[in-house]
Amino acid sequence: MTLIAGIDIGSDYTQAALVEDEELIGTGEVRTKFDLQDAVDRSLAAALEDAGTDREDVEQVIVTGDGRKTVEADDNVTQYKSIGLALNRVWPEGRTVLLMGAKNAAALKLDEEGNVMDFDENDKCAAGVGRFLSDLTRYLDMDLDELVEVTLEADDVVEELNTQCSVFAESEVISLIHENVPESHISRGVHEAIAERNSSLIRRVGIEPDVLLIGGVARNAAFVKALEEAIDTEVQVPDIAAFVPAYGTALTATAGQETDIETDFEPGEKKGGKFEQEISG
Amino acid sequence: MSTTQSKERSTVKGVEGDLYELTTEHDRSEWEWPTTVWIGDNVDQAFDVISLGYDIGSTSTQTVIMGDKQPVAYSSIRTGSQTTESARKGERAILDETDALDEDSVDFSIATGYGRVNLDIVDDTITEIACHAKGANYFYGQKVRTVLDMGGQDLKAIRIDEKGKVQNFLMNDKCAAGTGRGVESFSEVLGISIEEIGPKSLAVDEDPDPVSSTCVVFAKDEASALLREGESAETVAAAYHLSLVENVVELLERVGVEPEFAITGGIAKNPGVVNRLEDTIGTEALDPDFDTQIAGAAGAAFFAAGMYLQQQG
Repeated sequence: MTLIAGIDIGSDYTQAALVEDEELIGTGEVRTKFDLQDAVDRSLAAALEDAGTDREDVEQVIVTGDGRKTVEADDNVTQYKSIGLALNRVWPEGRTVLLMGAKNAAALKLDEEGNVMDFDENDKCAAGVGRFLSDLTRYLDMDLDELVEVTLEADDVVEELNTQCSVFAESEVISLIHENVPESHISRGVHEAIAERNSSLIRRVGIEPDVLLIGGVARNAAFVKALEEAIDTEVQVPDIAAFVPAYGTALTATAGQETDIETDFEPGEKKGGKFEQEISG
Repeated sequence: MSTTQSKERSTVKGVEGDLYELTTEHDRSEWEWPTTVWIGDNVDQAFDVISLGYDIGSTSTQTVIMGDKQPVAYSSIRTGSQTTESARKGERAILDETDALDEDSVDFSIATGYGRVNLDIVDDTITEIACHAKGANYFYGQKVRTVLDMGGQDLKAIRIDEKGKVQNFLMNDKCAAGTGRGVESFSEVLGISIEEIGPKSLAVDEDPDPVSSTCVVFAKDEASALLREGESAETVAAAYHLSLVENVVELLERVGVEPEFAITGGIAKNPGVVNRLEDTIGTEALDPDFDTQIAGAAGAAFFAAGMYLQQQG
């Protein structure tokens, strides 16, 4: 048995994917915490347990994500290339992809072979990424499941949130609660605002179906709905949405010989500051 | 209920008076700003016009009372969830400390700041840009050309003429970076108060690299990582202030810094920002002898006196 492990080290969570003959046979997910090497080891152990295999069967460990160059591994690859490879297998019709993690969001444009043709990203502002949603659970004193449930059931939405910044939002959310605005309306307002911000990111690479949402935020059905409304296009979520980069990372072990991936962008490469503070004057 | 914590003598634009620091019950955080009230020695004098200005900011509310355009009293409190209530509390804080003024003393009142829109207890409202420009001109004199106002939830760079009229301005009220709320939020990581963080940031032998994130949320993550790596709170505070100052300088350079240069708003009290800002732009800020947070409310009170006189013919 020849196994390849792909590991995506995120700022909040680390995912591992075990791949045998390009098929995904096991996944593992752990909180990243402080020690990145430990996160890699723990996520791999979880994936091995999921697949019912042993560490000795793993031929190569390939890593991607934050700090991929600081941990021990057989190789490290860029995240966007991995995403293209994985999606080409699990959702080959995917042309426009929004990756949303805790601390970054990226819109990718893929061709029919999974090559990354264009991308744009936000890693500058917490108001457009998953972190805002986890902060919102804290402001509203709910867990994520509750948050998603009340947001989906919201019969109305708070008229307009003045604040775009997630730091300012804390006090605004608190005053809205004091004004007896239902939590569901507040939460829906925040979901819509984040979706709106990311719809501009997607529009910059161009909306072309199928539109896919991947990354940890893809588990939030309320956000998926808000995004669909914001871009007026159906959004698909692959079953393995959170594991797409990890899976694709494992696939890079064999992809080099078989496919022709020319575009290989580095996350953080585009320093446009698109989410820079807006200045009104 | 308030209790006096300290009392000292303080001068505001040439008028001597008593400055009270009061502690009040509050529900936000334990190290919240105290309420301050200043009562000028001139409070008993007879004035032709008594005017009042409120600056109801996102974070704090200032109330300034003027007699014939001279400062008579001011207060600074934390803004509550209701803006009308915050304004009333600001005035009440002053009236509690002096018998020479009551609710009927004021001839004309003007509100500024973000809370002015929902207020129905004043005679008029004026934008905070105009009020801060006038306030800076009033306190620092007609040589001031550039005003940087660093408020609780916004950051403004204003160019003014010799009369304190606005020539040009840039404002960031979308992002917490460079605002008081941002500094306050960052302070939480270090477990120290907003008053302490500036001086602490200067207590390093050598400046570290600035934190790489402009966003306060991400900067806090970076700070936690630095603390875990064993960096001192002082170093982390310095790294944050350096990044904050870079951000502020960018805004200032876009509006163009022309001397004299003045800083108003709460962050003017933070030497970790002010000293580094002066070093970076190579211009010293005018050294205030008053509470810089009252500039906007003072501008409003000044305008209120003028409008009252105009109304009287």
